[in-house]
Amino acid sequence: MTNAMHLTGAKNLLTIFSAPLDQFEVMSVYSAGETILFNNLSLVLMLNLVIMVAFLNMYNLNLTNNYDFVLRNIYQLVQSVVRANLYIRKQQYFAVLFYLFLTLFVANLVGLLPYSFTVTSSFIVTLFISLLHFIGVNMIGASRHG
Amino acid sequence: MPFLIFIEAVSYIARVLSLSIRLFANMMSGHALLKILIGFS
Repeated sequence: MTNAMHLTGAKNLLTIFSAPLDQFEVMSVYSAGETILFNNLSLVLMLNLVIMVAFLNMYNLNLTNNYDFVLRNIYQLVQSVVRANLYIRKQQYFAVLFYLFLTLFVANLVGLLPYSFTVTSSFIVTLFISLLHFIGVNMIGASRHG
Repeated sequence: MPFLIFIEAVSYIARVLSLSIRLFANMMSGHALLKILIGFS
């Protein structure tokens, strides 16, 4: 527990508004021992996942609520981008791109809430996303054309 | 020709790092700017 970061308690409201870089501070929420660390980055990542799954589960063919309308519009937006940029045979990877778009969309939308945390403003998350797709694309390319 | 292969490999690998740094920097600057403008009001 030597280098574990602790929650520094409730801050003054004035110092929160006058220090604009304090919102990117990663502080510990729960830590047990040295292996289990749960900071606000992992908390907001789990919140983003819950929001994304709940949003995708609202899909209904009958267009009964407004979430279906929003989800259908996002689907058509990503579909138009994919159709403009990919061949017909490569459009089977539409699901990956739709998931990537929805992840960044939900992360940035949650980050706009006051007293929230922007997941994509930490470098480890963006590096993880880019390395994940880089390794995946290279593995698919090597197995198809290698 | 081997020099060309080296240049292509370096640019192919550096694209991953540069695009992730770009997303990170844009998000950080945008949210810092929003916080500063909120502080003015």
